[in-house]
Amino acid sequence: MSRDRLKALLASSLLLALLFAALVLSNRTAHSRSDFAFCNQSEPSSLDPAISTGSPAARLARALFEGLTRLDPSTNQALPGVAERWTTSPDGLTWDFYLRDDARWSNGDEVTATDFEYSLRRVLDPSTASRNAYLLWCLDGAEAWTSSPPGDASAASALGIEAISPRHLRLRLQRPAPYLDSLLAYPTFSPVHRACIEQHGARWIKPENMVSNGPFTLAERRLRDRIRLEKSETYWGRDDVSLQSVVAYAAGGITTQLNMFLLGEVDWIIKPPPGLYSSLEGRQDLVVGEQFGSTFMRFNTWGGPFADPKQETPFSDIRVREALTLALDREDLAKHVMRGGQQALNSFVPAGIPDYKPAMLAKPDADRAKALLAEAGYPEGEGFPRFALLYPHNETTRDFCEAVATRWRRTLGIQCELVNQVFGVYLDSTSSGLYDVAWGAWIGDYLDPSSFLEIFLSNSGNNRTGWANPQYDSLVQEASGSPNIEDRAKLFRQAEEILLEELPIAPVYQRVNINLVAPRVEGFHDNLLDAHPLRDIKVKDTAG
Amino acid sequence: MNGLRPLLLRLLGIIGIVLVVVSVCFALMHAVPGGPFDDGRDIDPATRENLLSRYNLNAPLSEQYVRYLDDVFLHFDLGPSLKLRDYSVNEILEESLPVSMVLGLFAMGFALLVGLSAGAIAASRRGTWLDTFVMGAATFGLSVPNFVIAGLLVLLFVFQWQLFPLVGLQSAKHLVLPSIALGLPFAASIARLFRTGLLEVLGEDWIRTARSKGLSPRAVLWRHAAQPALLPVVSFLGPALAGILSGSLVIEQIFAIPGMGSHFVDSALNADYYLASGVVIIYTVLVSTANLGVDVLYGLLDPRIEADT
Repeated sequence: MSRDRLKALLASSLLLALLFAALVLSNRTAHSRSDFAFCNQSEPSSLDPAISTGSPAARLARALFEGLTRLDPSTNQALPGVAERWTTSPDGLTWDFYLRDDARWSNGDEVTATDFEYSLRRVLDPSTASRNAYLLWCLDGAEAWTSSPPGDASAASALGIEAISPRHLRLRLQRPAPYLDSLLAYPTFSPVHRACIEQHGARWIKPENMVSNGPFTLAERRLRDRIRLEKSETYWGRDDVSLQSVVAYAAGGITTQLNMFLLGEVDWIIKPPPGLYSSLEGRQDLVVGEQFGSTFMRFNTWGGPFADPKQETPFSDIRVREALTLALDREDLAKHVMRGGQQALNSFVPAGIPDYKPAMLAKPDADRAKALLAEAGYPEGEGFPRFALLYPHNETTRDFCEAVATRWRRTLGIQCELVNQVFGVYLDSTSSGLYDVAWGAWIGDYLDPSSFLEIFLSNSGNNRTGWANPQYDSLVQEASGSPNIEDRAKLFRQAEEILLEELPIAPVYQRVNINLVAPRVEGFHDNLLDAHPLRDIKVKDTAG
Repeated sequence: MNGLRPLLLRLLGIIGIVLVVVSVCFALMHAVPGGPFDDGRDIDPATRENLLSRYNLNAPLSEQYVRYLDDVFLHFDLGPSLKLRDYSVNEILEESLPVSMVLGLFAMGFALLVGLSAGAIAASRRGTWLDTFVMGAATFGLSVPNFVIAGLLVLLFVFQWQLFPLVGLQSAKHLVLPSIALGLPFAASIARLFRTGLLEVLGEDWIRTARSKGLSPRAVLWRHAAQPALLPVVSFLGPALAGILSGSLVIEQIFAIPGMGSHFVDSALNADYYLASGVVIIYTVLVSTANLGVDVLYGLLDPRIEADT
C-alpha cells in the first residue's frame, strides 16, 4: 500500500472519529444551573412508583407523585396529601379517605378516587410484580390477589379498595393497621395515570410521556447521569413549592460526590465517605441524626437441617448468645469504631417512634459474660469451637466486624475468623443457615414496631437465624391485630422482651443518617426515615 | 487472490467467540449464589414467583439459554435490565456505548500523540539527559494506576487551579482530564515501544544509506524509520484498547461519566443477568474487531505480512 493511501486512510479515520465525538457531545449540551442539585447516590431502580425500590427512586417518586398522604419533613407523621382528611371506623378495619377537589395531574386532569383504586390495585396485581405489594397485605383480599396466578379475575374482585365517589376512597382491612395513614405516604402507593400507562405501556415513565401529580414533573432523564425535575404548574400545593428546577445526579463514586459538594456543584450529598467522617466533624453543613435502623450480630441457632450435623453449634445455647452479647461494649463500638455519630443500641426496635417505648437490653458486663460462657461449658473460652464471622463485603463493615472479633477474643478467649462475601452471596448464606455468626442490619419501612418485630417471626424470610419462639409469634400477631394503640404497644413490648432475653441477635448500634447540606438550603430536617421531600426544600438565594 | 475471504472468515470467527463468551457468561451467572432480586429483604414466595415469571427466569435454564441466544443473534435484542427496570439492555447500551467510545477515542488519541512524540524525542536524543528523563517519566506513567493519576489531576486542575470541570460530559473540556488519566499509562507504553522500534531501525543499513544521501536527521526519522518502527506500537493497540475499555470503569466513576464501565461492574455485582451479558458481548465485539483492525493495519504497514493471519 502506498504511503499516500495510508495517509488518506489515517486522515479520514481521524476525521470520522472527530465527527463522531462532536455528534455525541452535541447531544449533551450544558444547561443553565438549577435551583437545587443533589447527588442521588445511584440511578433509581425505576421511576414507576409501583415497582421501584430503594432510596434513590423514593426521593424522585416523592417529588413526581403524591399519595393520599405525605410525610411531615421533620416528624415523619402523615400529613394530608391528595386526601385532605380521613376517618377510621372504631374497629380500625375501615378507612375512608376524602380527596381534595383541587388535586390535578400534570396534564390538567383531576386526581380522583378512581385513580387511587386503579393504582393500588395495580401495585397488588401479580402481573405488576411489585416488590412492595406485601406492605398493603393488611387490606382485605390483597394477599390472596398478589399470590394468585396472573389474570385471575375472581381474586381481583374481592379487594378491599373501593372508589365510592370521585372524592371518596374506602379501604377495608382484614386486620387493624394504625400506621396505615403513614404507610400510604410510601412512594409505592402513589397514584399513576391510567390513560398514560395504557397509551405508552412500559415507556410511560419516559420524560416525553409521563403524567404525574406531584410537586414536580419529569423534564429530562439521562441514564446514570442526571434527572431533571421542573416545578409542576398544576400541583395543588404549588404555592408552597419554592424550587423551580432540581437536578438529581445519578453517577459518581462517593469521593466524587464529596468533591462535587465541596466545589458547590451540588447542595446535598448523602452518606459522605466513612473514612472522612472525622475530618468532616464539626462542619456546620454536616447533618447527622438517628435512623430507623439497627445493626446487630446474628447467631445461627439452627441445629437442624441446615448446620453441619457433625458439628455441635454452641449458638443454640442461650447462655452462649447472652455471653457474646454482654461481652460487647456497645457504647465503645458505636463511638470509637463506627465514629460517625452512631449511638449504642439498647433494644432491637430503634428508639424514637411515637407511642412505643422499646424493651431494654441488659448493660454490657464482661464478668457476667465470662461466667455465662463458663456455665455453658467453655470456661475462659476453652473448648469453644473456632467459628466464622460472616459479613457482606464493605470496608466499614469489615472494620466493625474486626473490632467485634477482637473484643470477643479479649473478653471471652474465643477465636473467630472473618469471612466476607458479595452482598447477594451473603444473603444466600444467611438465609440458608450457612454461617456461624453474621453481621446484620435492618431498616424499618414505616414508623411502627411491627416493621422490626415481624422479621423475627418464626416463618419470616428475614429471620435468618433459625430462632423460633411460639410465644413471641403469638404476641406479635396479637399486637398486629389489636386496634387499641396502647394494648398494641404493650404486646409488642412483651414480644421484644422475649427477643432480648433469648438473643438470636446481639444488638450493637442504631444506624445514623449522615447528610451534607449546603448552608443556603432551608427546610432540610433530619428525621428517622431520612426522607427529605423536595417539595419542602427552599434555598436562600434562588438567583444563584 | 481474493483479499476479502480471510477477512470474512475472521468476522465469522468473531461471531463464534461471542457465542462462546455468551455461553460461559450465562453459565457463570446462573452458577453464582444470589439472584437479581436479592437485596437484603426477603421476598415472599408469591412476589418472587411474579418477578421470575415476568422475566421468564422460572423457565428451565436450557430453555432460557436457547431463548436468549435466539433473541441476541436473530433479533439483536439483549433483553430487559433486571435492576434498571425502566430500560432495556439495548437502550442502556445505546446511551452509554457512544460515551465510552468517545472517552476511549480521546484517551487513545492522547496516548498516541504523547507516546509517539516522547518515543521519537527519546530515540533521536539517545543517551542524553532528555532520553533518561522521558523514559523515566514513562516508567512512572506505567507504574502508577490511573485512579491515582486521576486523583492528582483533580487535585491540581479542578481544586487548585480551577481550569477544568470535575464531572459530567457536556463538552470537549470535560473530556480533557479523564482522557489524560485514562491514556497516560498507554502513552508510556507506546513511548517505550516506539523508542525501541526506532533505535532498532536506525541501526539498519538502509538508514545509513538515507543519511549518507544527505537527508536531515528529522527527515530520516519520520520518512524512513518511523513506518517500520511503528509495527510494535500497532500490535500493542489491540491489547491497549482492551485496557482502555476496562480501565475506563474507574475513570468513569471518578469523573461521573455515564459510560459503559459502571454498568459492567454493577450488573455483575447485582446479578443483572441480561445487562452483564450484554456489556460483555459489546466488549467482546470491540476487542475482537480491534484485534482484527490491528492485523489489517499491520499488513498495510508492512507489505511482507499477509493480512490473512
